[in-house]
Amino acid sequence: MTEKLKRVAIVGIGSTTKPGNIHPFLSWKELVADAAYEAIQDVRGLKPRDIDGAVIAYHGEGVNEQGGIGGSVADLLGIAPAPVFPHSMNCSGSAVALNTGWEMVASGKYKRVLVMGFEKEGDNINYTENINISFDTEYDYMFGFRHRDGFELMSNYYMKHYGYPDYKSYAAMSYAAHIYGRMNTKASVYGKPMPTFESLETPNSCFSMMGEGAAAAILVPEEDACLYTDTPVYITGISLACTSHYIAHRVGEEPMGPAFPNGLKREETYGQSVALIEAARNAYDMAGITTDDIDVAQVYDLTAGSFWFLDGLGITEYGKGAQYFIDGKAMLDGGAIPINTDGGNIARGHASGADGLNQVIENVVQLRGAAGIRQVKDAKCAVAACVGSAFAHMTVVVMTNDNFNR
Amino acid sequence: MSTEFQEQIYRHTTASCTRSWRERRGRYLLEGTRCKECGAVHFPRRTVCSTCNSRNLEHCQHPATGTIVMVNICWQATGVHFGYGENIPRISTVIRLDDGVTILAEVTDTELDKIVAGARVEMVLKKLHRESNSTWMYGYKFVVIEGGESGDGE
Repeated sequence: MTEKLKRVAIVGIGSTTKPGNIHPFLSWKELVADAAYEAIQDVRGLKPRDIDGAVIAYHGEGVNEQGGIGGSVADLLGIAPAPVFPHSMNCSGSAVALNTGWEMVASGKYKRVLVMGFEKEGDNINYTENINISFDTEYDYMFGFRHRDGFELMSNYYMKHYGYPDYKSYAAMSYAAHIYGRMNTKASVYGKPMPTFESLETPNSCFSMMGEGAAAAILVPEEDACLYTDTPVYITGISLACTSHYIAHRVGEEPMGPAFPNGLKREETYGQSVALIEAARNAYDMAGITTDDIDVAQVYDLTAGSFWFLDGLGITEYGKGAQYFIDGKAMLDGGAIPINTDGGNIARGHASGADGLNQVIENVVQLRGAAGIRQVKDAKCAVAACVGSAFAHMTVVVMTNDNFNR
Repeated sequence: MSTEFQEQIYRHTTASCTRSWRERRGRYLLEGTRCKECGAVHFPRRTVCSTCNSRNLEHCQHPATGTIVMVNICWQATGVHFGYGENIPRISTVIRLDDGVTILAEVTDTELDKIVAGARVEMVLKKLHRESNSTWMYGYKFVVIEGGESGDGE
């Protein structure tokens, strides 16, 4: 299948600063334009009108109380009549948009594709509301549940089932994120005082820093990449797996989602994401890599989220994800795969509609060797994995640079 | 704990009364579907069987008793717009009903230390919040009827 497709390179990236803060003076259009034009300027010789196709993601229509935004985006960026495909896939939205952008270039129809994602939750009357609607709605949202409840239910199960009696693992994960965030000038915690490890040993230390922002990337076919940049990064594996939004459907119920992957017990599906495991397998197969090839990974950190991700991506065995953080392996000098080198949702900030792309952007920075003091040495292969809703739609993106030999 | 109902902030996303009315049997009676081809039971009701993809489904009322599988107790005020703002802690559980289906539901009228995995629960009907025509939406919650051990639940 993939032989007939073009390989796709990321040649430009752009993002707004402090995605964990509310930006009351900026409209969603200003945030999108800031990120998109930063990405365009990041590409050698590219002019806005050269964009021949675009994709935009937002958390959901509730974010800016506007649906069908494709036309508005083409207009605000001055790229009309180029097509803009909108996505609303919650927190994974911009990674899904990247998927579509990849398809547009890989098919050969489009040559220069702009992929964007944004979040403007402060414009909602009650901003928790757009988080609530990342759910099946009828039998969960209407009963007053939020997708955070889904995360916490799964987290509690994970911690109990795999034997983590206290919040030391949460503190370790959060502390790592805070250290990385202070090395990233775009992070919301940059320049802020560092919290103590002890103060993070609470169930609340692992919540995302919710905020607003936008992110953008430019995709071109591999053969054109040398025209636009000296340091192209290739999308070698990309996948999306979907299962039920309704959290109770995923506790060991056989019909939902893909079959149990190898080695996963039925009861473990209460605290693991089967869709993530499937998405990872799919992306690794496409890229032709194993977990041994991964040099750096960005995962979605919310409650025990990072732990599931390490388990699901095959970086750790099932149940060992929390121990990975306790052992300090997520750090640059941890002797293993550094995790969330930009600070992740906890410290970089979580602008949900832009989150998938913010992860991808950090991987691009790492693979370009431009990450400065948080640079992972000799990074050649990077993985970004994102979640939409409470593990209803999972994306995995594998990226490599010119130094990666398959 | 949600033993009482609260006023919510009125806005255009208040639950549509038509939409809520359509799902009344699920909310009042735990009515879901059963597949006539493979016998699988579903909640909430489905239009396609998720096991065998059959569209030959019939309504079925699930048992009103079950066992708690997963628990979360949250002390932060959320769901404010739907009137849940002052109802803390928010208690969410996943319950396995006695015919095997799993359901996301709130446990109410129970001491907190009794809300543990493995506890036996029974459905009760509670006032939830207003719908768009200002009538009240009712729906299921559960109460613990028999203590359980704090284990994995199953």
